This record gives sequence, structure tokens and C-alpha cells, in this order.
Amino acid sequence: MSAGRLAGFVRSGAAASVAVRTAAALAAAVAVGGLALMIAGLDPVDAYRAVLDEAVGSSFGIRSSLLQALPITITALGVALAFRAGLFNLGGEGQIYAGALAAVLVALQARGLPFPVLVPLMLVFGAVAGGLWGGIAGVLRARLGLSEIITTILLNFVAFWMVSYLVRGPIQDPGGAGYPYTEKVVDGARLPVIGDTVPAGVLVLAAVAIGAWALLERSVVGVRLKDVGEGPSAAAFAGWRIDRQVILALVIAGALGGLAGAVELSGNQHRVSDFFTPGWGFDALAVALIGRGTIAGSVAAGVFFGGLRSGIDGAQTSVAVPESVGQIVQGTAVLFLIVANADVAVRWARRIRQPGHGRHHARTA
Amino acid sequence: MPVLARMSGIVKRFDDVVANDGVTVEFSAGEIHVLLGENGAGKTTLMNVLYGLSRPDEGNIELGGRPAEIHGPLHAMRLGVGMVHQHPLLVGRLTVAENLRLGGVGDGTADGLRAAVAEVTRVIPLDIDPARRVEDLPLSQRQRLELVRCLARGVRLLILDEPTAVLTPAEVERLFTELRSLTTQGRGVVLITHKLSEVAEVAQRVTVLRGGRSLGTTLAGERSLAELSDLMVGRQVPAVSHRGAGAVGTAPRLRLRGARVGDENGRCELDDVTLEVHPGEIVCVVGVEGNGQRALADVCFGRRPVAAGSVELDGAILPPVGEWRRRGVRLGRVPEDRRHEGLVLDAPLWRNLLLGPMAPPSRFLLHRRRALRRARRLLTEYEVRPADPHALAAALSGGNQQKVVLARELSGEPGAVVAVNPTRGLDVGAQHDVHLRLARLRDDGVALLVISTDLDETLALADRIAVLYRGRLAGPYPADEAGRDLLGRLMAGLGPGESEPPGAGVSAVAA
Repeated sequence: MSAGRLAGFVRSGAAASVAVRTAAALAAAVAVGGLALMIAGLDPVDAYRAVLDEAVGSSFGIRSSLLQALPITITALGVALAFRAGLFNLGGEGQIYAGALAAVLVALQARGLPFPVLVPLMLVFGAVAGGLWGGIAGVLRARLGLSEIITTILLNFVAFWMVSYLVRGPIQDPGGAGYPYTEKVVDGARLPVIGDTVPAGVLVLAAVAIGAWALLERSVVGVRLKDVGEGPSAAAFAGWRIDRQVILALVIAGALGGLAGAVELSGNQHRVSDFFTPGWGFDALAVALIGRGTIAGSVAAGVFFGGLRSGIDGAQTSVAVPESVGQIVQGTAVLFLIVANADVAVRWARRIRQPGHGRHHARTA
Repeated sequence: MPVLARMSGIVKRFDDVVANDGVTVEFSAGEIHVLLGENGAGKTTLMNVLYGLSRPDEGNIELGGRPAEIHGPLHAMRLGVGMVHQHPLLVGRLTVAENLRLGGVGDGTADGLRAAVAEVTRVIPLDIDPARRVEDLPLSQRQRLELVRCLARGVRLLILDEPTAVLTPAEVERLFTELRSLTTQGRGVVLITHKLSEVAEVAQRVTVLRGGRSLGTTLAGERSLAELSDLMVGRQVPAVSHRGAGAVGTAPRLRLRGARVGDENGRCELDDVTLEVHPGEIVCVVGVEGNGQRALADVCFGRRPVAAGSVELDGAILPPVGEWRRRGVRLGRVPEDRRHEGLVLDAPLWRNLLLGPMAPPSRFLLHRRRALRRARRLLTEYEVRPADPHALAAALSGGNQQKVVLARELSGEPGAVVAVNPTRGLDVGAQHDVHLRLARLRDDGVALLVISTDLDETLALADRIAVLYRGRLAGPYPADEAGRDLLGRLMAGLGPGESEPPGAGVSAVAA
């Protein structure tokens, strides 16, 4: 955003009102979450202090927070890009599985390769696998007019059960006593943690964020994606190939989901199981929405989300916050933040029903 | 015959658009009253008010001589007013019988429903299996179902919104016969249409609407079809004439040769149209809306192929718009729907000025600084208010939005420009600006094709004028030779030399 545009944004009061609404949402979430904590017999001040402490109070805490934030945020950037093209990518879960699966296969097949070759190879394969997975929904949308909202969700099940089968048979860890997971990848396939605090995946996230921003704000393709998202009829009239833009947007979104899976595999879990993602694909949706579809907003929301998750997880052990209450506190925060950004949510939801975006334009384009 | 409904001084606004501007009209029992006007004239809006779908901002309604406030369609039906919409308001997943019951026909029992339907279908046969799902029915049968539903509720005043659009000629014939027999039962019928031939065929009374105002009600025989056509499209004395010195050069720049376009039902939208536009002239194609304008525009815009014949620019076949940039096609396009096709409303002006094949080429990188500089220059040159490249297109007035479209389409040194109703919905000042721009372009040697439903605009701008009627083109005639009378007759589907025949003659032409 240029200085002039930023100035206009601020002048219009939009930035101020978003900031005020976000602050109000957080305050409301703290209050309602506090109530839940009190009902559970906990001192809310102690509990919140523990959450904060666990999230950012130590280098271990920061590391856990960032590790939680990475897959959510990288996937969310893909969701945000698709949003801008007027598309809803609800397939984060499946894309994460596809990416993690591809990455683990590479790591298992090529375990002898040195780290500087093997890890990039895993990330690339993860992104390609996720991109193909997202691309299926893109092609179905562009050629047949099938809603990507439906197909991306259904592809989640396909990916999950595929992984579930593989980790119980063909690629199950032979020494794993029958657990449904693969063996751990070798050291040379692992993204390290820099200085005990910052996972190297953060560098990947930074690269992705800059790349996504450049695509949206500084490339011809990005402008066309936004044209398609904001004015499908005008984009078709202009001669933009709507079908191509739709496929491209979902391929990119899927690639980022796949990359998120590969980063998580290489930097944290080191193996694939059928409980690999606890729902990051859907968290990413909330994050992209709270980030108002912007790159910077999604990164900020994603990091906050990671911190919240890891802080609440930590507080469950340190001050014995019951898991259910932790979930309530977390859910409340997400809900209030979405309400604070309801204008975006409504605008996007309206786009789903925009006549003509889809089958018709795929044909006329 | 008694007056069934009287609407006086009806005003209906949508944001800053006045859809009905003080309309007064009354509908009587026992006659078919045609509400004639172009699309956007306010016909449907007015009838939606009478049917209770929308509330008037000003004005009164009387039903059967008593003031009435209509709270909604169900209330309107109870008061005796029913409406059959262009897109019938039925529940697709339910059966014919269920829709009838849902519409309040009968007393809720199967027998009551049967009795109520039987009563009506003696006059208007339903011919549809009541167990079929509505979504499986063609549009014509859905319309019939809604008609029966209205009548079975005992409606006294029946409004039909462009019912013939989805019917074959034989079905139209049947419908008209049935409507006539309804009037002999003492019911009143209001028929919304923009087709003059229907006036000749069924109207006992005609009210012409234009720009949200009523231009008066007359008996059907009192005005000739040519007069009605003039009233419909507007007959003010043009303020300025923008005639040019005539075409320069001999080779046509834009040329249609035997162009034919068919719609999905195999009907012909554009039938063997041949037209040449030379550099330095404005050719206007005028006609009442719905006579093939959209198809003509679409083939020139490169968004629809011709089924036969060709569209050529500078002697080469015009490719689909997606290939224009690569092939270096320079043809300016001013679409009819500027809000949706001409502009991305949620995008800033600088991005809107990059839309389309004629914007400065750039393959991968967006030269943002250059794009902003260009936007500032164009916005100033075309006097757009505000001249701020970061302003969203949605925030501009209609006139300024059109200026943005023109800035984009006219600034790329196009060899030819095709514009559809370029001044529709603009105020007089903005209209003048647009006409001036187009005239100046003509003087610079550009070939312009203006497709318009506005006769005044046509007479003010054109060097040559052609008339589109039912997909066929008459002319072009030199503007000096094409008077209002000739054009009016052609727009009504009469031959250039024919005097106007009585109603029967017109329906023969229509068939």
C-alpha cells in the first residue's frame, strides 16, 4: 500500500474503525472467556497470565507459538489469495495432507541427499502436490461450473482417507508397533530451529508472504485475479480468461496449503499420521477472514492464532485449565474477531451468489 | 365499466434513481390495458407497487373506489389484484398442486383445491399434470400455472409482465384469446410490454411510460403505432446536432457481412445483417429494445461468434476478445451495462483504466507508477470528478462512471468504436459531453457504430441510420433522408413505403 493510498485509507476512517473494532472484539472475548474461566472455578487473571506466559513468555513458548502459527498462516495466505479472486478454498485440510504426504515420500525415497537439496525438494514437492489437489477443484469449477466450496471440502475427505490408508499399510512405520504413522524422516530432512527460538519455517513464511503480496499488488496476473473476484462480468467483458484465473487461483491456494503441510512435516512432526492436522485448514479460513483478505492482515491474524492456540494448550498443563474451557476461550476470541470483520464476511458471502461467476463465464470466456 | 384500480401521483425511488415519477393511471374492468414502454421505463416498478411488492414513496392507490394500502402480494390478492411475473414466483421443488395450495388456492383440502382449479380451468385450461414438479416445467407452463393461481384466488385485476417473451406465436395467440374472454367476464387485464405489435393485437387502452413518467392514456385506436413508437423512445427536439462532414476514405473499417446469430432455442436474434462503417462517420442502429441489439453488440464486442456471415475490422475477421491484445485489434467498446461490464465497481479507477485489451501492454510486472500517472492524465483529460486514481468506481456518479469507460476505450487510438446506448441514464449535461466526445472522435477519422434505442440520440449523432427490427436491418439511410416518420414506421416493423394498416395488418406483419 503506497503512502497516498494508506493516507486515503486512514482518512476514510477505515483503518481506524478496523483497529477499534478489533480492540473491542478482543476486549469482549477476554470478558466472555473470563466468565467461562470463572465458572470453571479458575481465577481469570491467573489463567490469562498463564496463557500469555505460555505463548510468548519464554523462548520455548515463542517457538511453540510460531510452530503452531506456521501451517495455519501459510495456508491462510492461500485462502486469502483465492478470496481475492472470489473463490472459497475450504480444502486446506486436504491440501495440507497432500503436501505432507508428498514431502514425506520424497524424504523417505531420497533420504541420502544432503540437507540443502533434500529440504527444498520436499517443500517443492509438497507445494506441487497441494497445487494439483487445489487444481482439481479449479478445473471442476472452470470447466463444469461445480462450486469449489463443495469440491474442496469433498477433496479433504479423499486426501484424509488416502493418507489414512497409506499410513496403515504401504508406508506405515515398520517399527511403530502398529500405530497409523510413517517413520520419522532423517535429520537431513528436518527444518531446524534457529537459535532455539525461531523455527526456520518462518523464513519460508516470510518468502511466501512477500511473494503473495508481490503477486497481488505488483503483477498483471494479480490485477486480473482481483478483477475476476471483484467484477466477474467486467473481467469477462475485458477478455480476461476467467477459467484460467479460477484454475490459477485454486492452484496457488492449494500449493500454499501443500507447502504448509511440507513445512509442518519437515519442521515439527517429522512424520505423517492420520491425525497430522488438527483442523488448520479451517483455522486458515478464519485467519484469512480476520485478516480481511490482505497479506499483512492474514500474517498478523495467523501469528495471533498460533500464539493463542499454543498459549491455551500450555495453560492446560500449567494452571490446569480444562481442555473444554480452553476451547471455549479460543472459540470466543475467533467468533468475536469474525464479528468485528463481519463486513468482509458479508461481502465475500455475497460473491458466492453473484450470478454468472462460474459456469456461464467459464463458457463465454 | 367500473374502475378497478386507480393510482395517482405514484413516486418510487431507488437510491438516487427515480423509477416512477408522479404516475397517474387507472385500470377498468372489462378491458385489456397495455402499459407500453422501453425497458427501464418504470412499467414493472409501477405494477410491483400495485401488487404490494414495493411501497410507493409518494402517491395514493384506490381499489374499487376506496383508498387502499397494500401490504404485500397476499394482501393484494385478497383485494383482487394479481400479478404474473416475467419469472414466475413459484417453488421449483414442489409440485403444481402444492404450488397452487401454497398460493392460497382452495380451502386447504384436496377436494377444495380441485374444485377451485376446475372453476378456473374452464376458461384457462391448465393442461399440466398437477403432480409434476414445477422445476421440470418449461417457462411457458410455469407462467400458465401462475396465471391459473391468480384467477383461482378470484383476482379481479390481472397484471401480466411481458408474458409473451417466453411464448411461441401460437401460444401468444391462445393467451390473447383467453385474456379477451377474461375481460368479457368483467375482469380487468394489464399487459406490460415493449412490443408495439401487441398493442395492435389486444389493447383496448394504452398508457405509454417513459423515463418513469406517464405520457398519457389513450384508446388503442387513437394513436398510430408510429406515434406510439415515437412516444416510447422520446421525441424531444434535439438540442445539438453533431453531424459530420461525411465519411472519408472508401474502405469500410468495420463491416458485418450477412451476420446471423441464433439464441439457444434456435430463434434468430440477428438475421443476415450487412452493414459497413467507414472512417470518419457515425452510423447509428436504432430500434425498440429487444430487436437484436444485444446480439449485434455482442458480435462486435468479440464476445459471441456469428453463426453465419462475418464481422470484420479493417478487412480481417474479428477474433474473440480474449485474442485482441495479442492480435493488436484496436476497437473501442462502450457496453450498455457500464456498472457491471464496463467497470469493476469495487476497484480503484486506475485499475479500471487497465481493463480490456487496449490498455498499455504489460506482460508480468505491473508498472504501478506508470499506471497511476496514466490514470491521472486520463481522468483530467476526460474531466472525471473526482480525478483521483484511487477513488473506487462505485463512488462515482453515473455520468462520471461513463467518462471513465470512455477514457479507457477512446484513448487507446481505436480505429473503430462500438457504443451501446452510451447516454442511457445520464443527465442532460453528461449526455451532451458524451455526444461531443463521440463527434470529436468521428472528426478525427474514427469509424463509430452507435447502437441506440433513443431516437433523439440517433438523430443528433448519426451520419447514417439503420433500423433493427426482429433481428433484421433496414437501411442504412443517410441521416438527411431518414425522417422521424420513416424511422418510426421501420421501428414498428412496417415497410418504408407502407401506410399503417389496421391492427389485423400489423399482426400479419408480426407473424
